[in-house]
Amino acid sequence: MGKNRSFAGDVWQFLKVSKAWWLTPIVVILLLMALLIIAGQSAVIAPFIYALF
Amino acid sequence: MYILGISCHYHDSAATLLKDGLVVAAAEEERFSRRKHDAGFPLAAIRWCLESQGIGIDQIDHIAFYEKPFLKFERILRQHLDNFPRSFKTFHMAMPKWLTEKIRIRSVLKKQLGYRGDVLYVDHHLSHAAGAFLPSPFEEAAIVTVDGVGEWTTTAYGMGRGSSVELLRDIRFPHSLGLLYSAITAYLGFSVNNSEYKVMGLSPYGRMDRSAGRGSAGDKAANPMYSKLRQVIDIHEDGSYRLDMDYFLFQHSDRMPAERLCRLLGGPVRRPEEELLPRHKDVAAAVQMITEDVVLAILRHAHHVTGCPNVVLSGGVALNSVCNGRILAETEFKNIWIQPNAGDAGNSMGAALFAHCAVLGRPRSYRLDHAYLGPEFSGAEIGKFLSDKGIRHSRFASREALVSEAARLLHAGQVVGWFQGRMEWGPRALGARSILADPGRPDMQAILNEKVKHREAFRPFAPAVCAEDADEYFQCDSPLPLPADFMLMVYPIREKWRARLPAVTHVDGTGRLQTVRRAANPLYYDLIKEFGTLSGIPMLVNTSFNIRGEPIVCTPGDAYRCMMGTGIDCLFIGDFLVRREDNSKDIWDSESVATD
Amino acid sequence: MRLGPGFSNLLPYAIAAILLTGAGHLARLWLNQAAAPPAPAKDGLRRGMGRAWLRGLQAFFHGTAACNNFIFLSVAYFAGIGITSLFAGRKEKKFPAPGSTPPAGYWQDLNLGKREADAYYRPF
Repeated sequence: MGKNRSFAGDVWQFLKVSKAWWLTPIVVILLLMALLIIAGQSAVIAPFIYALF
Repeated sequence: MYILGISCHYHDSAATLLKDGLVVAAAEEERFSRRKHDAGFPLAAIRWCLESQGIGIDQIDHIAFYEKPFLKFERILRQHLDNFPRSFKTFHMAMPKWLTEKIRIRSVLKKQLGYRGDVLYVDHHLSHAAGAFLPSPFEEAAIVTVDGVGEWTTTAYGMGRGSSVELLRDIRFPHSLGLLYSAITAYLGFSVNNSEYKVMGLSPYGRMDRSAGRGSAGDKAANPMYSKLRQVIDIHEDGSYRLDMDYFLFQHSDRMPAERLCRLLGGPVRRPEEELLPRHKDVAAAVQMITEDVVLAILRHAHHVTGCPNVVLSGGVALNSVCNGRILAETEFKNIWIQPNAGDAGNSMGAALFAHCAVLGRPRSYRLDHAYLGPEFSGAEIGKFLSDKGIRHSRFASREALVSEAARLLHAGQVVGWFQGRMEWGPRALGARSILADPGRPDMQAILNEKVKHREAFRPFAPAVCAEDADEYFQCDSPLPLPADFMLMVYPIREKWRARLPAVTHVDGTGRLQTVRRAANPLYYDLIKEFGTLSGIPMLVNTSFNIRGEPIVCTPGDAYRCMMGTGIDCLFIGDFLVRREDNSKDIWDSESVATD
Repeated sequence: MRLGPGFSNLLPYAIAAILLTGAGHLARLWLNQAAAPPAPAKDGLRRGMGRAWLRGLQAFFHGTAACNNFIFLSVAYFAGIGITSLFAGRKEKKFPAPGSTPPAGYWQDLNLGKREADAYYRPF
């Protein structure tokens, strides 16, 4: 049991193993946006996120 | 030890449960959710798999997922990079699901199932290859997989030996035979990832001559669309190919054919309600011929490389039964096997078997010799359903009585719903959730089309025949290949029978037969034989038990609703017989909800 | 009821909410994600109003979420994809001219299936 890595560990390993460093800026921005989108998916918080702009 | 295989998030979600290396349950999510080609997380299918074995999620030792999500995501990002800023809209369409679900498989499994164990990720085409080879009867076989696209691979070949599966070489996105077929499907006004088989059914109405036809004697027979469509694909003699991407939009748009393809084919994309012109039929014939050219060339190449007499096929293109019917006659392969669920849903089985055999190193012990792997309902459950709903019915005292009454009604020209045993695995109804009828009646195709299926008149129905009788009626390969049991091979109907089998004979004289072996489905086999003693021809029309636009029925409730919403005359469900005329209060018109 | 200084005049908030809902609906229409309008239900006045209120609230949440997504994803698209595409270079593969098919064909080496077991525990 427990051979899978954490999500962040997987992302780091993926960039390292596949040497896809060109992906780093996209991945970082997407991860940041993903956090906001995931927060936005839960309908209760969604209306309050617009206060962030 | 239990391994759960899952495929989802693209189209045709499904789950397969392995117990000590044997498949004990497998089903597509659409049958439970009642949404055709459901791509969502297959929660209901997984729940049923677990319930069928009386286990909980904590007893699952491994979950095998049918793809490497990071590699697929990388491919999608690469596509957006290459197509910036044209891909702005598709980026918005795709990303929310990717960021919240598709890339985070483990957290989805934890949230949906409470699963905390290990997840194994098997590459998409490796899952296809494993799903084709590991359940096959062969100890060694060449493997060929052709589909739309997985992570990067669209077409691959390799070799299976014992419990090892290896893919040697591939062709990568965007060059994809599957996507070419889908683009033409879209061009012809049919729905992508759904109606490719309609293009296959339409193709014999077009001209099947490959010559360019300019100035030659065979001008009328030549299909000009073939030479036109050959301009968009460069085919090497080893079967490898490349698409000219100027003709397609699927890299960055939610549409598939580009304006340039429309100009090439002499008109705009056909609207679904528009009439099918001879030009459309020629386009369908052309794409079918090109598909056959490529697949046969790949197979010849795979045989040349592997030197193996056996071949297994997988991927959506392996469901092209017209092409499959030519393989043994036109390549050096002697034996062929295709799993009944050769599309993406079958990858849940492939991933689970690969995890068992290749990753965990356990012996390969499973052979798939029938497709009845889905839910079943006991006599008590069906009886309870019928009495709870106040549905008038009768019950047979014996199996023989059921078979003889069903044969009698079929011979009398009735359209019979046949709901027996475990549901089929794969897109075809194979005598567990089928609508049956007499293939010898000249008006049966029209009756089925008008009353029950409401489908395009150009599509014929499939004949079901006992395995040992197949050679009498069809010019099939000998010995009869096993995939014919799964309705995956089209063969010419013998000349002398064509006129006597109007409901199942296609315009080119072929039939997409299902062969039935008694060991796999004794009740269905006996019914066909009994019908043969009455009619003289032991053969039935077998079409899927569903309302147009809906998935095949799964439960007694689905079956009853479908029967009462269509023109099915009676339903043989378990030991029970339900007649439409006895329950007229429940009749409704399914056409009001039909979609595609 | 005191709602704090900013809430003494609710009109701007109501206008913002209506604009957000509308803009979100447009975004959803553009992405073919807008749900079909529900069939009119035969309810009494009170139930009908309750249902309409819930539908409005749902439209507001969905619309706002769609607006948020649109803004975040546009930022990600132009800042992430756009900037990277400037220096990543495009993989343009030209279709071969007629008759110039390379003798080696288009197969690429894959060699999938012969990896150590650990390779299957990762999503790449």
